[in-house]
Amino acid sequence: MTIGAARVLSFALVFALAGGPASKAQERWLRPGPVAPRVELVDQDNQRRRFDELFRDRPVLVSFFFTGCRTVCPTQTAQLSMLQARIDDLGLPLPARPLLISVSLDPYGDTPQSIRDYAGRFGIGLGDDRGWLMLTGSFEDLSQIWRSFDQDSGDPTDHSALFWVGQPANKRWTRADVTSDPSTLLALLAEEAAR
Amino acid sequence: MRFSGLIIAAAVAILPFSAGAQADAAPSGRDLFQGFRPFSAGQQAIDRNLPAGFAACANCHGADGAGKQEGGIRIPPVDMGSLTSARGALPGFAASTTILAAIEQGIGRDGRALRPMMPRYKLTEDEAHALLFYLSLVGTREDRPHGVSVDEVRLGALLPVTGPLADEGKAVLAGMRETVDAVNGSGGIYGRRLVLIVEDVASDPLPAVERLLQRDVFVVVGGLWRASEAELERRLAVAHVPVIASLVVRDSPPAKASWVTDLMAPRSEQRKRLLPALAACRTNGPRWLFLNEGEGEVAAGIEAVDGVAVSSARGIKAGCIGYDLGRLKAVEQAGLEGWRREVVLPFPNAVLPRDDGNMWKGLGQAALRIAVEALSASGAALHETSLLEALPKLKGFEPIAGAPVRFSRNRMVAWEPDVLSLEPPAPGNDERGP
Repeated sequence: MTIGAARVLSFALVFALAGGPASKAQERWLRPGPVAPRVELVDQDNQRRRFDELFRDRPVLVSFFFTGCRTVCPTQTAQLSMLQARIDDLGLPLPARPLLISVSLDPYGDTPQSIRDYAGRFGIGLGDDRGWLMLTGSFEDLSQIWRSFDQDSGDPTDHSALFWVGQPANKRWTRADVTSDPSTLLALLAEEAAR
Repeated sequence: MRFSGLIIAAAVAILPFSAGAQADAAPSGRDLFQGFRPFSAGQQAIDRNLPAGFAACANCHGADGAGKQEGGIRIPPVDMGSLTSARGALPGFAASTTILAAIEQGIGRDGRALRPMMPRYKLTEDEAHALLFYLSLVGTREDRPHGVSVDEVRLGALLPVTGPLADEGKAVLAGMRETVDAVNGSGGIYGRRLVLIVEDVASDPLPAVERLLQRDVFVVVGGLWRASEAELERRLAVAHVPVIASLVVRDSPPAKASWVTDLMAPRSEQRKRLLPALAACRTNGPRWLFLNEGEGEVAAGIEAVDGVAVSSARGIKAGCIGYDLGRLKAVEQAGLEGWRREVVLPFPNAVLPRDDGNMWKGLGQAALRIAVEALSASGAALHETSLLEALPKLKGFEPIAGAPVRFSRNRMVAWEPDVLSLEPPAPGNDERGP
């Protein structure tokens, strides 16, 4: 068994050991769930990213945020930071490594620079190698993503407090409360990866 | 008031502190709650990777402790009256120790764990005492920031009242004083009269700011200093004194969530407004943008020019020139016979004085009217960020008739720019539209 295969197996074990919360979530799986729109955004480094091409074969957690948010988003970001550390510990190779994607709710206020500053305050490492991208873009492009993921409230402060977990190739998604602890989120990602 | 004096009295009574200890502890409790001072354990004070700047109670529960709703999550009020009262079927917290258990261990009213959204804090004994005492004050009229007393709100004015800009500064001040007198003449705001405190920033602005801060002000209103005076603005922010509707015209707008807001549109917005006006200007000659240094062609058919090009434009076929108020004099001196002019203003056209009115006085009145409107919208219980939070609610308010403010959560500037289109001043021009 290669090291990579062993690590993937350990990720699957996360799913098996955390059967409680994940199996409860099974009842909530949506098929086919949101469709990733074909739009181009920019990441924290101002690199262009086609949203629908980002995570076809990978388990992914999609969250929504804006850098001016003082209430839910900081706690949510702190939770994801702990999740990122847990994923790091697993040392998974691609494409088994889950990808965290945070999509801006504020196209006018969130620039790559303000996103980098925001992430810097949390000490978060972003980028492909860190398995976490924070994305912003035009109102029109972001709107398509918000609509797909039920975030289209028209007011950033009214965003729903949910993470979306899924694997687009499987056409299966579920939602988790942003207050979910990292173990629950990791179990959901592992369940998706195990399919 | 959201709860009766009786409840406050009962809530304070359950706190096991002497009156002396309360008086000493209260200020630091306020600073901790509002995020003006970090918890002594720093980031280790919170049970997760939440930066200290995001850990203040006020971030989620509001500066008035009244709770918030965001992202479908209702964050409950934490003033002592609410904490000690039953909520639905759940009992109120019966003692300071149980409130502390909620803060430190996440134990709720019914003994069950609070939602993970509520961080668990590690507090020193002094911090716990201070915070608990402050919960009996937060959101009440007794919970007062600097510069606010039972019967006064102290407003600061940083203006050049001597030196080369003295005329402008004095005119702004006259407009502000007139407005303050009118408000006080009709009873003040929530029973508080306005007190205007002026410091002269003509020679050395930083000592002027320090003098102003020593005189205990709640807010700086209007104000005229160089856009490069970042240290002046930083000092005010550190002291948690917001600036409402400064008269500074910057290159780009103040950052969102900063402590500074401007009255007039920045140059970046002026340029954005001017370009389409210039493109639409009817001329067979050149279209010149005279704003910054020369940059060549900046849009189809529009060339950015500098002062040298403008001053030597005689003899060139008359066209259309767009510029801002700062370049008015240079354009006048250049003559430019037969040229159409598109003058971008950092405010709506309606702000231009009619008859013999003084524009600077009008700007002073406008800045102060915005502050008054924000004070009215904030309610009687004020905190340091009340006015900044109130500004987006003033959308559409007209401090000068026909000049609505356009503040929003992301926009820290009151007015949008406007363009004044002027026909060629010289008679007999033979311009024809395309």
